[in-house]
Amino acid sequence: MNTVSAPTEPAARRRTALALLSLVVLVLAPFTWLWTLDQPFLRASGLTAWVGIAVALALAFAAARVDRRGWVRAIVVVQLGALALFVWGFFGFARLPATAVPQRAVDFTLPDQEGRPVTLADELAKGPVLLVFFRGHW
Amino acid sequence: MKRVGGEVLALSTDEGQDARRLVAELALPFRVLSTRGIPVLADYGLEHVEGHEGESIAVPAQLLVRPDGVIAWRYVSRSLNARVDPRETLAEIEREFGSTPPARR
Repeated sequence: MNTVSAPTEPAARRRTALALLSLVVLVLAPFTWLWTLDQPFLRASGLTAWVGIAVALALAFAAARVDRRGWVRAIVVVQLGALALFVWGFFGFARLPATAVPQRAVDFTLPDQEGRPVTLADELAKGPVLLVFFRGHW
Repeated sequence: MKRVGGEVLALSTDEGQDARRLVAELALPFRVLSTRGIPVLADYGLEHVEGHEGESIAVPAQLLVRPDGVIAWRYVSRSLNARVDPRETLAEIEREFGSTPPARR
């Protein structure tokens, strides 16, 4: 009579599935950020991606706790590496330089999309102006 | 912005043809200006040096300029991920110029 229950086939399959599921969730997490770019809060906070990575890590830990196979543990290491990469990407790579915007607008004359010159002073003579600086379109 | 007699001007380092394509694709109701070769970004302190493939580009920002030239409100992004919520910009325009828009001459 075996007092320590040997891992049964269905249980082993469940653990394998759990470990693989954690990887799938990890891969999907950054995409949830891309899919919600038009939501300023989600874009700035990356909330959906953070939640996804947290869920993936939890699944991987749950799998590794009951399954001592080497590749299951390796998944946990991959998960932690991905988390570190994501933290760096979000808080390191994505950080923009400090800026010093003047108190008053500096006049300029720039070509618009049709090549027509636009002078800020002329526009201000007509009313207020919202200047939108953007990184570009490529 | 039109409602308070104002204008929206977008600026980037894109060249004219990219700006033209952008306006056409997104049907933008405002003009898109090119700062290429002109130090406007540096004048405004919004230059992200070597921000894209070794080229300097704009830090994402919005500046609300009163007719007297004073920058009444500003949003400057601190992260590639962060953009201002358009509702915040609209609220600021509303707060600054309210229901009595400066006459557009």
